[in-house]
Amino acid sequence: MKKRAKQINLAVLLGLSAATAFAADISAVTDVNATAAEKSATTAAKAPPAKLALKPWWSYQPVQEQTVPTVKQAKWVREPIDAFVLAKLEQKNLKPSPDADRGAFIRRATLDVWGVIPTPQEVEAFVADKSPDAYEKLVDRLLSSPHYGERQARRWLDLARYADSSGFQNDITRPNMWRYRDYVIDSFNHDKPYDQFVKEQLAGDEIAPGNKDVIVATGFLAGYPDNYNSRDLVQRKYQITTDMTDTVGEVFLAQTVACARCHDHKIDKISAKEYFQLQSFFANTAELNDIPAVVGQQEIEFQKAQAKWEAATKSLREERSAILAAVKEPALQYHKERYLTDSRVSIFKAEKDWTPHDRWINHRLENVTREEDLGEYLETAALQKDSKLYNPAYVGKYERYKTLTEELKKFDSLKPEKGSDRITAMTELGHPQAPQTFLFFGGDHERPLEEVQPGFPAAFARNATPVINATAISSGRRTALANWIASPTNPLTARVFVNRVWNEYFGKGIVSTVSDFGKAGEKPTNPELLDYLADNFVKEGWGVKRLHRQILLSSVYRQSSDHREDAFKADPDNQLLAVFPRKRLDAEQIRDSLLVASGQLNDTVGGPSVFPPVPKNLNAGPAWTVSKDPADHNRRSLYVFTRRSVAYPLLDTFDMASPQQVHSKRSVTTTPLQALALANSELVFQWSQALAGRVIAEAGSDPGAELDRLYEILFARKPDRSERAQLEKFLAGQEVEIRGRFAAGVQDGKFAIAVPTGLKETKGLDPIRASAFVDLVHTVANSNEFAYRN
Amino acid sequence: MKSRRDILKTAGYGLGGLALASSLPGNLSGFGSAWAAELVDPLAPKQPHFPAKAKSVIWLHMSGAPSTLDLFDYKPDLIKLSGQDVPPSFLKGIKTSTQGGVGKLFASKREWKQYGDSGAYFSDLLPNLGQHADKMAFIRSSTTIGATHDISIMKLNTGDLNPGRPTLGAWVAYALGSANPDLPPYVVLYAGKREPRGGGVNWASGFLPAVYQGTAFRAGESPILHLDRPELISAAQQRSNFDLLRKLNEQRGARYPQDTELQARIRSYELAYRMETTAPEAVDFSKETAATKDLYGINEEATKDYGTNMLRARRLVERGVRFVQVVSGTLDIAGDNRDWDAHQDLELNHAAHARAIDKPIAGLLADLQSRGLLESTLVVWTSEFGRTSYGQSGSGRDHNPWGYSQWMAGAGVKAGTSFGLTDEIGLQSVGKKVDTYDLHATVLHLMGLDHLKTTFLNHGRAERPTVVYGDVVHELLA
Amino acid sequence: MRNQFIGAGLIVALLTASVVWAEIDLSDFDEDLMKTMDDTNKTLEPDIAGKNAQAAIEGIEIIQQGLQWTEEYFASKGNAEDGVKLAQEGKQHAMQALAAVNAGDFEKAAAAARDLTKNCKACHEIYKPKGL
Repeated sequence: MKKRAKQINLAVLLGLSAATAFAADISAVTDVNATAAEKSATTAAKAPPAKLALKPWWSYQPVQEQTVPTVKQAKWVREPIDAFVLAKLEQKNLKPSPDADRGAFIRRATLDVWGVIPTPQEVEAFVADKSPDAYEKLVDRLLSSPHYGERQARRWLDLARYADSSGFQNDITRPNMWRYRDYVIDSFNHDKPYDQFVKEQLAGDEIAPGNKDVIVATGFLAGYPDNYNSRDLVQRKYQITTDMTDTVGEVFLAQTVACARCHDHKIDKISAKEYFQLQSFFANTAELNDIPAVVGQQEIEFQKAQAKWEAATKSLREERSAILAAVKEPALQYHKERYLTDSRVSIFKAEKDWTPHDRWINHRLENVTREEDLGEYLETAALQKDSKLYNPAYVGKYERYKTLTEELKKFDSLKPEKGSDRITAMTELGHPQAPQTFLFFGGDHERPLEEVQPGFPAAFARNATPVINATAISSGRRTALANWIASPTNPLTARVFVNRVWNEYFGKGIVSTVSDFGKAGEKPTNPELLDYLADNFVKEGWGVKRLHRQILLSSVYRQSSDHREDAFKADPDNQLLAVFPRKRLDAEQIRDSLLVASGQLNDTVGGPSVFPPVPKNLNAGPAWTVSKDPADHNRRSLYVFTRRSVAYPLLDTFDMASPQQVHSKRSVTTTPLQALALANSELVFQWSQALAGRVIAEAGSDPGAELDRLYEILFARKPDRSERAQLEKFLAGQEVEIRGRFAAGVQDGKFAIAVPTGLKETKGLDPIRASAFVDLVHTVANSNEFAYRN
Repeated sequence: MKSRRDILKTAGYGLGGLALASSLPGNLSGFGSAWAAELVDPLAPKQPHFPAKAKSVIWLHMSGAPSTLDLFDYKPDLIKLSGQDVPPSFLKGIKTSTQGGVGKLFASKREWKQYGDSGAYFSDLLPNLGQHADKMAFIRSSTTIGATHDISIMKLNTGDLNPGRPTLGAWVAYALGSANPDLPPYVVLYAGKREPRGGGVNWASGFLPAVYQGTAFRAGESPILHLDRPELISAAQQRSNFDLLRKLNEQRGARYPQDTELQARIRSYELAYRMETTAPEAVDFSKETAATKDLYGINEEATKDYGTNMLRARRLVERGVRFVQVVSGTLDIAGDNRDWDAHQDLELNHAAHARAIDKPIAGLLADLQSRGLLESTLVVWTSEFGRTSYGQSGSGRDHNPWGYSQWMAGAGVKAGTSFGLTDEIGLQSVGKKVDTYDLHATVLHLMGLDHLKTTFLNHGRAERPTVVYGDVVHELLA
Repeated sequence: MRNQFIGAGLIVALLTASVVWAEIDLSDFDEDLMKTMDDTNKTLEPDIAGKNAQAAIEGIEIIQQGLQWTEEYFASKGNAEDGVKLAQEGKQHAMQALAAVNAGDFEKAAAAARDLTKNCKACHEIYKPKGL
């Protein structure tokens, strides 16, 4: 299959540029084992594509309706998906694993659906629930909580390369991006049908103009890393369009279309021309950062803070603006001249002569030009004696400008710490006419070849063609693209999404290369199951919660993760899922679960991103100004500011997503730096102190009950006898150790120990023993069992 | 079925110890004790293919690409022709970036001097480094593929223009393991306000297991975050904490005998515990004499940052770290925070950067020699590309991937020589060229590794550090 | 020893003179094809070394076809004897690699693949301008 693809591809390549006579030559060197069909395909390089289509690649074929297979152990089947899994197991003479115990199950499900560990009360209630629909009740409770949306959003934001800053050298804050993040949370929580979710993110501005709740969805497109400082606006347009195109291809279609940018795709049947046809859907798409947001509590607070800063800096700003206003024309001219030749062509053209392309470039210019840019002219004119612009009269003005700028900086602390009253979105600026798109030779935007029109890659679009209806304010192109992607007959969209969800629950997708359904990717391990899920998903109205519910209530998901030698021998990679796959918690699950355990989590949903404390030696400077409000320090990790150049260390060390491009799969590394972070971070240690306090408060004075409670909180189980013995022995030893240090310390007159925090009642608490208990709690929180989901 | 642990106990126990005894140099045997606790360690020392000249590499990446035409590569003809158009014959075979033709030939106001028995030229920007001319083997015909810094830096470190391949340091760690179980085998040092250009991809393990990735030390006194215990926890307390942790983990882990991740996590706490002591000690200069610190320029503002990294590099090498990658930082030049990338104001830029590194590198070479470490340490001066002989912006130079200088010194290097040439104006290499792959092959050779036999099976492909290229430059070897 | 550096200028002059840059118009060369060959070549030796016979054979075939085209291209251009000759040599290395893979001698095949890579490089030195 692989070979055939390569040869056909080559034949097409050659056919494009070489004489047809050469085709005979190819067949001469073609593998003698090639079938007649393959030979005719290779020789018929110039034949219409239909003849080349021997048998479409599996993911390009329409999703097939599936019959649920008959299985021997029919009693095990709770959901149809179980039958698909069991059928494969039975082929290998493997039995599925027994159900996990209820404690393990609720810990697993809560981590998966909410991203945190359950409380002991939740565990207890579930374990004690003898009703026949106990599992259904649990799953429905989990799915109806806003934490479900938060957890799903985090996974989606990985794909959307979400960040709160622009990236590149300056990496400036993009203050409105969190609104897109909140849109994603809300969409999952309101169980927005997936097709609608897709359409809004691709074309929210076109399908619901004026509806700010929908327009914000285009933040998906706007999430590209950006260089506001670039002197080449034409190149920037190309790079931005490229980013949007490649992201859409990878996220929704799991196609590495990016490969076709510089040359026809080496592996998949996507030509460079088709690639640029995809790009052309975004040709007219431009960034807007100043759409007024609907004013709510957040906006009011922001505006209040903003007004304070404005009032305090009014005279400074006015004086500075006046200085700049006096030189506005030459300064703007000077600033515009910094751009490269082809950008300048657009910049210096009269507005009446603007083509759609010029319009885009000029909008971009306006978007990235700041007052300070005009100040640069003043600086040159005042200081650079060998410059043509040199004018000694400006020396004083520049000095004053500089002083004012420095003075202004002093008021930065008065600026609103977070939030905004604007929306960032992608729109077409009210113009239906899109700039031309060209096929670029070798992907080089300075070497345009033929002009191309919007179109879908024939290999998987089959006969679909874009239906484009321009509106008065937009080209309608993205709506056409969105309609095709979100169409029930698109062979990829549903498969790709259900596979991503499966990957989240089972650690590996049915197609393990979750963002590559092309020929370089892996094939599905259970194609019938994949098609069943996809078909069912679409037929049931693209309901995401329903999909999750199906999996959560299945027997496959309910299996124990205990090691089974027979299953391991027959299927070492556990592809068939005879055992539930264990997984290390991801970065957010670790941090958020520690916060939950310590009772410190601030579970406010939504709002501007926050800056929790970072280690002093991070040296991030102004890129990371810790939030003043301590309540912000313990927000869910989802709300931690994503600065492209400064990853939040605790999450970073546990393999958080990189926001530079689509992040399809979290990796799991195991490093000493992680051990150091969990064992030594003052923050994590404080959480352990708080957890110790909570345990003591909840367990009462019985030492045995304390250990039970700790294990119940962290592991949803009680310690067994040998663990208890181990822990008690440790406590006794540690007490001696600390007491010894205490005796020595008292003589020096300096001695401090860590004690449990948050206790209302400390009477009768032996501080030494309590300190030993903190150590115990901290150690258990560091253990493998905590860091894993069984 | 026995657990993995049992099998190792009966069949392979002491394997680590054995390998240690046979391949660790005698003067480091004091570090051996910790191996007893390690069973299957992916970082256990491994034998090279043939006896190694170098035990460690210090990889000095001059980020931003210095103009070696203004440092090492004396071109009298360029000075003569300065201000004239580039004769067309010199531009053949290359595509230059500026469409309307390239700038005029450009000579900076350098004074040149020959140093040592080898008579190698150094410009007045590197008076200290010149003193070590006879330790160096110059590569004067370096070439690479130059697109942008990020891409070419990636090629310099991984051999490819796209992310995904392991870096040279990761290959070394993979092929040779760690010579000191108490420190990571591959350490990255950098200075300046920002993370190095291109970021972590330049010390990534690519398709090799993650354990081989470089550990990036930060600037400042705590080179690794979270090395200090929580304030209120004593060392003894933490030791018993970790003992309990190990017991709990092992007890529970027995239920999952096949899970190597769990075992790795147990091990990671042991290395973390050792690193709490060894890592700060490795970067603690309190036992260094004032003379040593002076040698590295640590007491002078201009050379303090880079000097600190040089002294750190020596201390790490001394402690058995295999690969120390030092990325030069940025400096405030003409109101901007810049690395060596002098598209304009080359005079200011190179004066500042050369000053920052000249004394520290000279100090490193002198110090390594006086401690007998130069025999076993390979020092490599490298950059993602060089700079053009023609000028840009009237005061700078553009990128030049066609011909520039790099050098090596120390273990197994043919000291006081020079290999390869560029044309009379220093624009293009002529004759035998040395690409990044060749440099990698040569470095690996000095580490006792045949680059063709250093392979890792990735998706059925036996990948090697030099992709499908690379020749050892034997002319550079003693 | 000092003399070593003084003589350099002369040597350079000689070396520069010996490199004859192709003066023919290559703008109609199929860059896509060349990229395919480059990419394929990059995985060829690893496939051989990994004893991945099937993939290696597929790769060699692609390169053979590409070199065949390249040879004809240069032949039809005229004044490009080097190009023709190098393409022919490349085909020979590819054939050697193919024969060795078929014989199960992967070491020999890997060596032939390396020769092939050098052959590519040699041709690029003459015909492929190196850009930034």
